[in-house]
Amino acid sequence: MISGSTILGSGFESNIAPAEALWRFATGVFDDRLDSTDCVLWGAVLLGVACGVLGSFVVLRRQSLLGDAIGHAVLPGVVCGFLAAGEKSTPALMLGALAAGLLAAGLISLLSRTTVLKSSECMGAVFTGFYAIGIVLIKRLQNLQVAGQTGLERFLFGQIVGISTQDLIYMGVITAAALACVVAFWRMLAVTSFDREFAASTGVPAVGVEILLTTLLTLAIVVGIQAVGVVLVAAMLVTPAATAYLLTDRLHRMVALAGLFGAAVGVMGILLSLLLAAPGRDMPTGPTIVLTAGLLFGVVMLVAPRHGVLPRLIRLTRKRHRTAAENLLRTIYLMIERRGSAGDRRFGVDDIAALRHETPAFVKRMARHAARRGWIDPDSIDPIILTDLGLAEARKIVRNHRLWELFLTQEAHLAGDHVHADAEYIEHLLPPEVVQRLERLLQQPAADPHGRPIPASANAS
Amino acid sequence: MESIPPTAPALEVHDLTVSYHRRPVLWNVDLAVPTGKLVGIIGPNGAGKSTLIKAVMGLIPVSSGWVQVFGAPIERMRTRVAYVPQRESVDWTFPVTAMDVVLMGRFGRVPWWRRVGRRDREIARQALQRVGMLGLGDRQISNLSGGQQQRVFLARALAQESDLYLMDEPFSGVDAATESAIMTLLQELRSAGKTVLVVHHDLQTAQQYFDMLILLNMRLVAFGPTAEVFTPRLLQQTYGGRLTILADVADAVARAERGEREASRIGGASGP
Repeated sequence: MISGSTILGSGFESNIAPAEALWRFATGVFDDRLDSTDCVLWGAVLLGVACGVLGSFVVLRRQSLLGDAIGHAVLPGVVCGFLAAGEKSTPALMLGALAAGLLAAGLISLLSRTTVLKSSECMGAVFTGFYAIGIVLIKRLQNLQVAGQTGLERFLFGQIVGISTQDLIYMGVITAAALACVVAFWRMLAVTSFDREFAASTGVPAVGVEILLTTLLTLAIVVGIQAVGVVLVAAMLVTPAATAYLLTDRLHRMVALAGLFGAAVGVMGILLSLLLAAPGRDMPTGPTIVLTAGLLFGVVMLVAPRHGVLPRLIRLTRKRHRTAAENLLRTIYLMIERRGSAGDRRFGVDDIAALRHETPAFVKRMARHAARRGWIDPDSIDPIILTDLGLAEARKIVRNHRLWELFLTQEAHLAGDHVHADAEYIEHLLPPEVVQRLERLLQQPAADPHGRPIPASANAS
Repeated sequence: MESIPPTAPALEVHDLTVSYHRRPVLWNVDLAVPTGKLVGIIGPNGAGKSTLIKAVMGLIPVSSGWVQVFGAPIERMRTRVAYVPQRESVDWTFPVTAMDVVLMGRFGRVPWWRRVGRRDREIARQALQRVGMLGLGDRQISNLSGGQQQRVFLARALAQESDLYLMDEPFSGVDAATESAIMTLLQELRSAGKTVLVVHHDLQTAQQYFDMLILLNMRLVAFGPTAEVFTPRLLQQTYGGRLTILADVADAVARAERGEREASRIGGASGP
């Protein structure tokens, strides 16, 4: 019988306190013997690097489901490897897994080319079938009580704790071979991933590259299933690569980062499972590694400089504040125009609020954003006192607004009463070089469509 | 080097038939495109325009017939032919810069064990310059406008330094500035003795842009100098609906080849 805990994978022995377990682990890593703790750690690093690097191509080719499919499909191969060798010899299990993975990939490709089914349906049918065969075979062996079969079920959810030095060496060799292939065939992998037809048009053997990539992917999965198992290995292919994708827009950096993230979450996942384990309660390492990967993805998703949620929120908020401050300056400039001179730089909050149809409290908030930019005197809340910098900025904004209105009426032939709302928005966005082009196009105009003077540009005045 | 017969046309297509999923989409096309010409491929949607150039490039299997480029099969002439796919055919969020994409044009000339050299980079740089994109080489490609993306594709083809260029709708969805820039580029290529085939959608500009036209609607309607084939009669034949019979027959062929039973119109109409 498969007991509950082995079905869900298992972790470290947990009859000691987490702190002591961590300490023992650390001393085990840093002594000069290659012992079981080193194997666990290096196993996690190899798994992370292999899956991260190959996973990058899976993610970029939008083939994440293929990773999942091959991951599940290798299970019967593991069992057949065991049956062929008569014992749990690592190379036999790995060869069996490789063969089953490639067979499944070939079958998926054959089905999608010869039937009306799309490749996602073919994947769904093939990989679940293979997986079911694997489970049935394992169960059969258990019922027959075949010698040496115990422990095959650890390939379901992985058990990095049991990795031997021998396993580690095989994992290392496979990872090194896969990485060497990626480096050697880098250009072909890159160009076919980006533009398959173009690649084929230059004579790149597209089918050959596809087979190569599928083989490398299966190898990475073979490395990964020892630690995280066939069910969750797809997460190690997809999650670190997706995390890296959020952080860079160069292919080589993405691949390197994905490998790095894979290794990092592997190690962090192991430490986490050590920490969370307690007497009588073990934490399965495979799922903990996958959870760590998910956590890292979540954090990067929030904080990634360009694609992250928080930086985007910050940029939007900053933009909103700047727009509010600029709107205040524009209103102040209109008041200066009414007064006919910029001699008196003091403006009452209530007057501005009345002109803008907003509450005085709102105007004060706008003023704070303007004060932070040095446009108004930060020490005087009411009246607002415009600085020299603020006056120059106000001129620029009004100028942008009126130039744009003029452009819309003269060049785009929009009616004069249609252009204000548009200019209201655009005035905050116009880059300086566009303003220069507008000036040239409109031949340094003096007045806007409503006949109001366009302020001279800062360098002209 | 290949020895090329002096009279070999840039592209020769003989009795070419192409099927998708057993359904014929191009029937018995014969073509001999002389060198140094700007050739437009026009025809309605589904006429097989893209299919024709993909078949020429050997990207899709042909049912019958053959293709020769400068007198030899395409497999031996890869470095002399550049293909520009439709812009929509790739994922522009791919993590590469404009320069990276243009450098891909050099990959066919650099064996896989050698590095892309300084000379290749210089050629790619010049290609970017020729399409007016030199300053944007470092941009990630999703940060480019549609017209700029199309120019990157053209620069990549230029970097291939080929003699025959096959372009799939390079004018589709680009701004006016890009359209005229592309046109200038095509004329430069022609002056340099290159041959360019362009799948084109707009009939009005087709007449001004191209020396010769291929009128296509599942079969070759006409091929010749623009002045001779851009006639109401031939255009009517290309775009007119009278040839739906060809599409119907294609469906029947597909069904028969797939081993399905014949569709009976009457049975379909009166059936449950």
